[in-house]
Amino acid sequence: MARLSFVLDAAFRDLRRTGVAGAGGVLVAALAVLVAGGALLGLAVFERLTAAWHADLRVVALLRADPARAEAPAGLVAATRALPGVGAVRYVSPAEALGDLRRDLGPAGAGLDRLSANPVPARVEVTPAPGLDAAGLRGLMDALRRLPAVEDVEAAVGWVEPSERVERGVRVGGLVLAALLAVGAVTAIAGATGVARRARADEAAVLRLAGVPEAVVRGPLVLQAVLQGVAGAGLGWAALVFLSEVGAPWGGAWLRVTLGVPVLPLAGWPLGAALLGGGAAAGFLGGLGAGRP
Amino acid sequence: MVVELRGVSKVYVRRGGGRVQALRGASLHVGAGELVVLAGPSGAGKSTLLRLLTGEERPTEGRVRMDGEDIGTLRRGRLARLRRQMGVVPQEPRLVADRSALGNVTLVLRALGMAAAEARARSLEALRDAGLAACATAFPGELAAGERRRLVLARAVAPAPRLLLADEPTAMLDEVATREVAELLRAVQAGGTTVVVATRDPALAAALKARVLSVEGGRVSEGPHGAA
Repeated sequence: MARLSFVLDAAFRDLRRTGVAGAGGVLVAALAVLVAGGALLGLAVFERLTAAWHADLRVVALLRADPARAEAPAGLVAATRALPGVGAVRYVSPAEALGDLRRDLGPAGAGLDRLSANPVPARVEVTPAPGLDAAGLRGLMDALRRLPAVEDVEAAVGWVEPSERVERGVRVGGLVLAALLAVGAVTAIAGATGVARRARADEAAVLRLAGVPEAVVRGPLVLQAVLQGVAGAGLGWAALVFLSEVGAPWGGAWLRVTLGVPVLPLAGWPLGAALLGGGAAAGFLGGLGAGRP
Repeated sequence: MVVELRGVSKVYVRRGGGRVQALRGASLHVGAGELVVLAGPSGAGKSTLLRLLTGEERPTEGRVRMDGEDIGTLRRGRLARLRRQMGVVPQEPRLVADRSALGNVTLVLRALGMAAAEARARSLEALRDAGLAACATAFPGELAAGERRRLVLARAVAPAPRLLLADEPTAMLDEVATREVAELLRAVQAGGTTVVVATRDPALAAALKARVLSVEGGRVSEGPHGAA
């Protein structure tokens, strides 16, 4: 216990010895955490956004009016359900389709009653399976087109592929940038630890000559590096929470109205714990590398 | 603690490839609780001999034994355990600039696992014995050269070592301070500690009233320098 108290005390002293270099290490670690956390939050927002769009996505297969090629609804629904990437299937009869059109047109739809025959074809509305990507959607639409009863297939899927590219870009770009900044943080912490190591050279020599175990001699130096990493991560995390909390009231409303995202995800504790752990790991690596005698 | 050297030679190889023989077949025996002075001129090999005893250097030839244990073959952990029984006053007084005199002494005690209150009490006692009670809160940069030497001595004796190795402990001290250091070293020995002092200061050698071994040209012989 006495030795642990000594190591902690010496670690804080070493942290003070790092001076400006230590502050630099903390700031770079904070920046790395801010970027990594920001990328993760941005990705979470984007995933919610695309999930909401996906939930509204329908692929509509318009059926042939030709009675010779028509198929019984039950058989068609079963055949559609068996296709890959299908979540749910709804058959809409010509009469229901006409009713939908009349409702959509409002007062202007009164003219539809004067037609001698129903011009609106029956259709099958397919809800894609959750998480189906652009390639899967294309495959589903092709498969629907190959069904004999299907005249044409329509779906507003033009946004899916670009959104997947954006999501990939945010994920890869965020990871690469965070990795670069993490390397920068490790390097900055290692540099600051080098400053502390030089400042405590006499102390380490005295302790070694007195037979103090090597773990107690080097422990404070590594611990101060871990403290730098944790302090940096804590600072970055606090900035992230602040931005997230401040951004949520107006950002959440804006996203809800413009894009339909229900709630802006806040920086929660699991993410915070992960980022703090990352900061500690960066500090440990930096301290271990630069703390060698 | 019993200290023994048998046929010890130490050769340093310089960067350019030149060789310097610091010790040549040196042998000595220091009994438990004995006070021994290694006297000799600068460059005679005294400091090398002490560095061999602390394990900072390994002999090129021969054996260095502490209580019968060959220090030249010890692994780092075992060597550290052995060093915990030693107090060392190196020739260059290494002090931690950003710790007070008291902090410099408690540093080692606390790192060795002593509780803070006990370490503080023991350190104040060591500082008082070294005549530095009034300087406890001063930083090394605020102390005179002689005070810094005595501070290193206080730090070395504070853990109550079984063996005290002092390399030129009175360098830069005046006559009065030299006598005080000699008294302190004798008091440490009186407590049962084996004391080995390397010095080129005849006043210290005389004040210690101890067995004197002469070190010259890397060889150790019984009797004061110049007597052989």
